[in-house]
Amino acid sequence: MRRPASAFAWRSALAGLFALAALAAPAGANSILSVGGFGEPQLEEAARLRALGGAGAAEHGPRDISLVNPASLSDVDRILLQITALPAARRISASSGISETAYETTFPSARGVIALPGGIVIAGSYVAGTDAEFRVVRSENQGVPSTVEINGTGGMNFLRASVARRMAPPLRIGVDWEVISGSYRELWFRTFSDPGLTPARDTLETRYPKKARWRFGAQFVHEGWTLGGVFETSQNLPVEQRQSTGGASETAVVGRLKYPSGLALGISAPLRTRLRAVAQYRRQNWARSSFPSTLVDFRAQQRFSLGIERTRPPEGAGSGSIWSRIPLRVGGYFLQWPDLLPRAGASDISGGTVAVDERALTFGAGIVTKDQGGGLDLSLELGTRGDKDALGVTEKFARLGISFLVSDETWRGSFHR
Amino acid sequence: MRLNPILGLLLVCLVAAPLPGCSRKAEKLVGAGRVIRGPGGLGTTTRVQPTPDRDTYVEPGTADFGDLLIVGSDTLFTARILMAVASWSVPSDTLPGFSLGQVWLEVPPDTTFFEGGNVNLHLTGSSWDTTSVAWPGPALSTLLGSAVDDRLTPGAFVLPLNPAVYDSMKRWAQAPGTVPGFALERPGQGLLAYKSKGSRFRVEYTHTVSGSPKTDTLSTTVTQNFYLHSPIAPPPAGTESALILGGIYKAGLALHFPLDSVPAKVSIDEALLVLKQVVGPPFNLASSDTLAVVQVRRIELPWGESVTEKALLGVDNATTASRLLRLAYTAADSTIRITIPGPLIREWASTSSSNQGFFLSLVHRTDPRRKFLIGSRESTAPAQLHATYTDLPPGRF
Repeated sequence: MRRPASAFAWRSALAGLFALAALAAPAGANSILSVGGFGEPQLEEAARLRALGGAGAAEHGPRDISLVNPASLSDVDRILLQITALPAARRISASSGISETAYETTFPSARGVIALPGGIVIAGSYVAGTDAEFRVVRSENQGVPSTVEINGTGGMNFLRASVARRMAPPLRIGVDWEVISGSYRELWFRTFSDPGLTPARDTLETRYPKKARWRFGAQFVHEGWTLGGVFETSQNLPVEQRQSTGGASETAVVGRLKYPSGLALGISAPLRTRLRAVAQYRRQNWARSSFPSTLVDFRAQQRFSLGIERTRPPEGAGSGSIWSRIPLRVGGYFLQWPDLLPRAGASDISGGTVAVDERALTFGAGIVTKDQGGGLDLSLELGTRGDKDALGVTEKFARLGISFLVSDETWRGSFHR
Repeated sequence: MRLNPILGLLLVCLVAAPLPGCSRKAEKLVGAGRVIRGPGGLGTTTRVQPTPDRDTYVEPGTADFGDLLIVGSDTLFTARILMAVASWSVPSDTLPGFSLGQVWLEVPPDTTFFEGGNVNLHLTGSSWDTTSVAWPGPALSTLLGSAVDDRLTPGAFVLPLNPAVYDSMKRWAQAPGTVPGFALERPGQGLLAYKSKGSRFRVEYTHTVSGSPKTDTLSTTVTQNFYLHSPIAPPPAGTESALILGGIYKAGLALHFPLDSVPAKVSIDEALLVLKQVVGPPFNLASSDTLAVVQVRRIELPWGESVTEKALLGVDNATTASRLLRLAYTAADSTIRITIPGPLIREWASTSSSNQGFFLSLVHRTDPRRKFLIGSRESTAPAQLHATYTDLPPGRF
């Protein structure tokens, strides 16, 4: 039964949600370990796949899209809009015994998909690569004592255009043309206990030109099994650094960043009716040669993801309890950050480096609109990273992934049929 | 299936969930140690306190075109006022029943100096060029009038002129360019001060209007006036242990600090000029000192310590810093502290040839005699430039 007033209320709520997403500042810091190197690696996937540990290379379906594999768009048959918000809480503990809790919200991705005649699907996406938001306050005693507050923003982002098509019943392919963008910006505010000294406001910017690279993806589907693979090309980016204060600045090219090639391999396997398992290995070939620096070294970024999903019942299946109809997901991942950071207390990497490993358990659920085109997915990630002995800090984090998927049918009101 | 309540709850969660992120808590002590930026840390804040490698005091010239006119002598200081008139207003002696009355000069007094005495008005022997006129200026010629200014009468000082001046005025009215100028002098010790605006020559006369005698007065405004004073004595040699700031000669300090040790690309956290008063009465909050202002300007031309005149320094017209003396003076250590704009220090650090130093002057309107003796580089308490700077933020990579 149609309920026009209710439909209006829901559309208003959706509009409000998108307005909030658009207006909300990407508040927040990221891992304290993101104050150096390229920042905290981001998982760009929406909440549904985040709940499966991020294993999306083998995803496909009218609404089951992944940002890892462009081929996953091949089965989309309408217009889709998807946005994900990621509120998080972190508990940071230092070797000194002090702990703090920080909160932030980020937006790891947003995507629009349009199905065209001829089975061609195109899409445009914003994807967060790394996030280097941070804020620290530190007392300095080199020379005249001061207190330095540093507000860091930026990171690596991608603007992506995608095209995909199902070439044959078992074969799907897709291509991303992806612009590597972003920069790192730090505002330094230094104050002095001596009232005769004027606070200093300085800026540090590290940036590189926007350049594009390619990502190629394919999926092979057979009797409920899916294999997916992605290959990413590399790109060279000259990196420029600008140090500035009121009335003075210094700009220099500090090196050439070789954004490395990468790959992702994934599988989706049916375990039983409404139950499937997914797995993925993803790698980006960061190395020492990627960007020579005395403050950070690099290794390959690797993410191992596993997940199990109890899918929603097929359309037309008999009614059951609401909990039996809601899909449930559980998973986990193990992530090796590419950044190899200086040891705690060191001033650079000459005394050795420490790797950052991140592990998390993931959970999730979701609901689907009546038109089967939109939905709301939630994920919860509980994880840890850091090393109190070697890095001086450990972090425990809890992230709530919230993704909203809207189709053209949803927007027209079939949501309430 | 009724999904609306669940959807409502989830949407509320969705909308509310980002809000905690807006009031995040910052990592302060816990994560701050992870900001690792090389052996230089987060940058060193360095304080330097150079003393001058050149310093002296200079006078701003012997012609003063300010709003205060001084005449008279104070020990070695002697001043006279020069006046000029562009056009004259003189009553015609052909008016019916014309009868000449008084002819006089009116000069509005200033209370800065009122050491009463005789004041003479002379015609000068020649005219002058205001761009080059200097002490002693044109010679004094004909005495036109004389009077005692004892400040007992309120209002303008009236200096009666000889009646014969009326005849001269009639000629000057015909050809104003032929009048060389006028000079006021006050013989003997003592100073008198007048305002630079409002002086005028006046002619009183009687004539017949409608059959009745009527008394009128015509006024001629003095269009240019200033005073010349004797050069500063003794002249500065550049080796004195005390530098004169202010005083009747309006002496200013020329200071040059070497800034080679300050890097060009730094954040300037402090630039403070510190002057130590070594002799003389300290600043007195209960005196006219409270209205005094210290001004700092940059010097544009190269100079040596033998310089005695401000004009040779090429002092910038724009004020670099200006501060009320009562705010700049620290009684505890008898120092004057003036903050200098950081960008100027940075400019001098990056282009040392542009660093020609500071010119400091004292504006003391209520007591022009007031001066402060500042320790020179030859003394044990030289001026200092406190400069504190911090390296630019070290690179992230």
